Amino acid sequence: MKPSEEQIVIDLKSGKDINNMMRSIITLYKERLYWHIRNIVKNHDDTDDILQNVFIKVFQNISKFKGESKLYSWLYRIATNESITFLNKQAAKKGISNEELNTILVSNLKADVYYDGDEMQYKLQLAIASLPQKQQLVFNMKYFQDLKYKEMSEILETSEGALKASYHLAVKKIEDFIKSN
Amino acid sequence: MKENNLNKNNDFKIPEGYFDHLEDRLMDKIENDHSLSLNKNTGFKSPDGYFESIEDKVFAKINERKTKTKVFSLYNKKTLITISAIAASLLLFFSIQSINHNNELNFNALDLADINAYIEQGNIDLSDTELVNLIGEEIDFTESFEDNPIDDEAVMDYLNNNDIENEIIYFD
Repeated sequence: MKPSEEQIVIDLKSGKDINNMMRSIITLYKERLYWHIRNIVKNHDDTDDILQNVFIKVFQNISKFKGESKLYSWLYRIATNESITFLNKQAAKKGISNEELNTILVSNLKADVYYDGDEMQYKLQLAIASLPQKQQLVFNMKYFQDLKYKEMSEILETSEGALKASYHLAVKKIEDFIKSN
Repeated sequence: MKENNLNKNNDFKIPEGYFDHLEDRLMDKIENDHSLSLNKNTGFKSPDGYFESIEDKVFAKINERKTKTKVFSLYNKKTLITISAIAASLLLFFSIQSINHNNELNFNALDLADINAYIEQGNIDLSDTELVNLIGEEIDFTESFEDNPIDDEAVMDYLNNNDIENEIIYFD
């Protein structure tokens, strides 16, 4: 039985054993955060590294979590930042732009043993890679992870209206991309 | 609204008792498909059993970091002396350097062997795709030595007139 977010937050405030609490947090969020990161960085090994770093950061900063924001939006925010920092570093290391890096990451999927998307899913990934970073995030979170605008708004600290606009713009661009390719 | 009015004027029929357990069936399905709903239609997969070991991996790393990090005070006498000694010698080193060599650094000043060693130590990490991108499309690979052999005389001439010792990168 998985622990609930409410219970974890109550335990956090009452100062229970930090290791047990950390284990509950990982158990509750590992899959959601994994797929969130995976959608951004595309391959399993990098996702695995980032996911572990995210939880280590959470562990180091758990005392600073005051319960002002929801636990999940705090976690998602750390995961999002870590993933984007990772991509920026990769692009800088290779001396290419983030857009070029995205295209390379997607083209690597064809040889990835942990990817079995069909032709249409692959095309969708290519289309996503052609979007600006913020729209990619919004599209992934809405389309693949079914997050609600309210949740996304807490994670990305953007208004719901702006997110809806981003999402519809992203969908439009993806449709155009797929039609013209 | 009466229940039997919901399906007025059409001939559609449903299996008997269809609505009775719809909630349970749906909830079953949603719970079983939990990971599917997190990873809808992406085509991404994760290794078998991957999620079972994450907790342990993270704790192993946290413990590893705890043992590695030692706290020591910056302000005890011994460290202060050590740090100032290092700083002083660095200062001395750089001032001597700048007196001796006022010439600018450039690529020609680098030894080929140094560049070679630098690459071999893995400081430049280029994948095959990147190498191909670096080469680009400007170089014409269709012109090969087989089609246009260089005659021996020209090769001998070149070797006689040029000292190529420094141009060769040796591999083990």
